[in-house]
Amino acid sequence: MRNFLLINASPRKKGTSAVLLSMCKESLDSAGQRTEVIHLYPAMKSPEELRIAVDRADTLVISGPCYVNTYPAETTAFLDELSAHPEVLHGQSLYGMIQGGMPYYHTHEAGLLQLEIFFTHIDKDEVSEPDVYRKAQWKIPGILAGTMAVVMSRRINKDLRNHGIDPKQKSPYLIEDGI
Amino acid sequence: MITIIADESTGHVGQELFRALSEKGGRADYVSLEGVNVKPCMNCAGCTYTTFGKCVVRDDADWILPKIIRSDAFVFVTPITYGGYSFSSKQVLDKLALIADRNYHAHERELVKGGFPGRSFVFYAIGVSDNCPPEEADVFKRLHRETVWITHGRGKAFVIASDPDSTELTNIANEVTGK
Repeated sequence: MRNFLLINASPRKKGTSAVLLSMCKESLDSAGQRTEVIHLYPAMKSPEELRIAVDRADTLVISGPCYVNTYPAETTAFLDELSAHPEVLHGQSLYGMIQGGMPYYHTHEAGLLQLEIFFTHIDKDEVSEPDVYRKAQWKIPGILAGTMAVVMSRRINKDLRNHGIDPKQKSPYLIEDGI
Repeated sequence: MITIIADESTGHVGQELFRALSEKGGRADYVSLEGVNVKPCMNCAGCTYTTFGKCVVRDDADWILPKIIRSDAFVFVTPITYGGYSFSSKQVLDKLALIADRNYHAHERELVKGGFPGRSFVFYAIGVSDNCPPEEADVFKRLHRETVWITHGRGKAFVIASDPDSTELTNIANEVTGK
């Protein structure tokens, strides 16, 4: 039986990252493994407790959203924290999950590559096959991209107008006296 | 106008680039991330439904985002951190989505987003690292390339030492100013 530390690297406690993590937890629990779930954002406020949780674990699972093609800044802060305290790293396995709205894995993949780089800074032993997620990508025919873009943009703009927002309005940051 | 956003833990690279750009007669603005506090994006959708195009949280993004949105190009100077941006750099990048185009477009048969409403993202990333392993340099460039792709923008990533010679900086200045 291994100790799994499941880390929600999203600011949302009940978003998609957390859902993926709870699916993981269900699977691990029914296999008789020990699991602990933490939410990274509040956990980073007590870094010592967080480090103790990492130390206790045999396996770390990070599940996070994709912001600007990789994990959000707080995940980097977490990796920085671990790098500054390498005594809590003793050969744990590390799994990463990253999810985002764009239907192409290449958009989000750099997040996983970054975790691999973190790994190599610590110790690199064995790396899983990326084909697991690459083959799972549901292929949207390229010829539909144009139509999808138009339809989705129309929906976005209609939703904004329904909320009384003019989608074409100038950015508040361009208005000198706005702030 | 070219805005440089520099994590000064890289040393003087940001300031030297600013000097190189100014010497070429370009209009450049320099933002140091020293002491800057940009809070995490909490995915609250406040920048859509509460104050459209503007974050509901008050922090240093209030004066940084107006600079970025007025720039013809922006340059992030960051220590290469697990093949990506430093924590302080990524905190700013994580908030760029709120000033970006919310609509979808089609580009080479893929769904992409846009840059700024009405014009492109022109985004350069300068990764500072001494003796950067090639795999890590590749991740940094890949990460940047993915952002340029999804914003349907342009730009380039560079990997340089913390003490670059003047020809390297001149080359970068030339690229950034489009000469």
